[in-house]
Amino acid sequence: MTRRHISEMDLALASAGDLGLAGRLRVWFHARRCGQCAAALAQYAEVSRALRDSSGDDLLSPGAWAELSREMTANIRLGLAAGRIVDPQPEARALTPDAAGWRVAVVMATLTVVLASGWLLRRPVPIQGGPEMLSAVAEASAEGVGIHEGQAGLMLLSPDRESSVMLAGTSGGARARFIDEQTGQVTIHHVALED
Amino acid sequence: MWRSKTSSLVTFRFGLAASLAAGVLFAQPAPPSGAFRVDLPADAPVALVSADWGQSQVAPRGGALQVDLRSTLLLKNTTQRRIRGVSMLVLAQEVAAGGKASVTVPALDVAPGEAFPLRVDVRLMRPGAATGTLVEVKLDGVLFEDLTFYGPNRLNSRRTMMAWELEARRDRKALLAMVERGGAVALREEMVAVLGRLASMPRLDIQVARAGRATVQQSTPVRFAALSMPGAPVELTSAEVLASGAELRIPRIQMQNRSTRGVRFVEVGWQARDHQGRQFVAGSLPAAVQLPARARATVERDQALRISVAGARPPEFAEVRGFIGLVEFDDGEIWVPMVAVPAVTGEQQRLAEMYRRKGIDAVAAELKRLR
Repeated sequence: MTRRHISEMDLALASAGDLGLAGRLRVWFHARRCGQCAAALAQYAEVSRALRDSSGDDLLSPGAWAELSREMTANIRLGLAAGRIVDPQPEARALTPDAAGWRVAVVMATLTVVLASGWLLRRPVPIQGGPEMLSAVAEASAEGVGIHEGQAGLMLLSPDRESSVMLAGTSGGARARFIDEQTGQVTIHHVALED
Repeated sequence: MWRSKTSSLVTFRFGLAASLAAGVLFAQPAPPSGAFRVDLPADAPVALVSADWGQSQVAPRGGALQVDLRSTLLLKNTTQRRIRGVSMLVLAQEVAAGGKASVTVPALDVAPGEAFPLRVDVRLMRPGAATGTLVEVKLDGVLFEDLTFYGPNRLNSRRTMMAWELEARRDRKALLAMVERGGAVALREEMVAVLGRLASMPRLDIQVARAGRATVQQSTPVRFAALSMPGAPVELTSAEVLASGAELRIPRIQMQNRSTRGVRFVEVGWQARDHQGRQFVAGSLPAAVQLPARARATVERDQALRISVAGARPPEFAEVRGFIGLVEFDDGEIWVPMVAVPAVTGEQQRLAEMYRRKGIDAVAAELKRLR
């Protein structure tokens, strides 16, 4: 099995103390287990120490900076080439210091979406939509019994004072029976959606 | 003082003008003339004496027009027979193609030449202007004392009124037997019990969607129990009941004709109970069937019934009980159960209201008069 290594860029930055806290911890934990990366880290650290110990004035001249840049670039390329020998697909590695954090965020967001979708799909949901979604509806309420479809509708209104019992027929109709409190007359209102 | 009087006058004039303006702006215009029409055949057993719709009005509601037609029809019995029930068909243009409405007044006892009122209160919602005849009222049927019937019967009013009359006679007979056993005290106790049952019944709001148009999501089966009705010519054998929250569907009911006569119509009454123990007399499933003697049939109705209870949580149904409420044979004869099944029948309700308004003596007199 091919072990995934720390990138050369991260090793170089870590050796110079230029990597963020999360990155430094990641490099440190990996280097404890991986001899190759530990050796590379030590090499970069040696270069950094040598640079710090050398004369400061020379380092400040443009020519010295150029030479330093060339040397560092060569070392980095040497390291990358060596890394490719060990791990043929170095491009798959995270190249940004916070890559691990983004990965975790993406995974958590995906899991949340999956879990939420599953819960929503399993939750029983009653029939949605009132009259604007159903083509025709019959209904019985305290106001009366009626049928409506879109903006059109007809309702037989209940009297103001009545004693009523609500009935409903499930063949697409509705019925209400009530008694006039003053006259005692029984009235049945009936609406039907179909013959 | 002069300035105070002037300002008061200005205030008064302004207030008067504002009131008049408000009256003009917010006054509900009356419907156009001819918006409401009563159409009775020339040979009808009832004649229209008068129709008063003075309280009708028109009001805009969003993008539609709301027309309230409130009318009291005074009808007169023009035959030599007593009338026991009248049913009027109410038709409106541009409303739910195929949809019909009826106003039925059963439990009448109209003597020859006598007039009686029939109230028709209709609310019409329609897009566009209110022009022409908006609502037409036609005679659907008249039931006489001898149970003969006149009329086109477009909304099956014959069946409705005959069932009412047969059940009413059954209930009055049972109450008379109660009076003979226990006197007026027993009758009063029964009337009080009926009023108590009426008061305890939850007030329901019910919606029914047309077949095949409801979008049904996850439904769960609900236990169905068939009540055995003694002497019923048709027996319920099984039913499929599905519930989704406060919505109920009874897509399939199976029944068997136990009689030797063909049956053309069955009405299955059903009661529902929710998990909180509340009982709902929620409806009936009328079904035109072709059920020869001893044959089986399956009635399929895939419509959604949405129930809400005023002032309470929507029900979650635990059980539905079904029973045969009415059978119409091929020859037109009607069968109704020998015992009252719903919590309160129509005649029980009528007599209980009579007791509440006029006392037990009026109820006893009514029972004897209609014996």
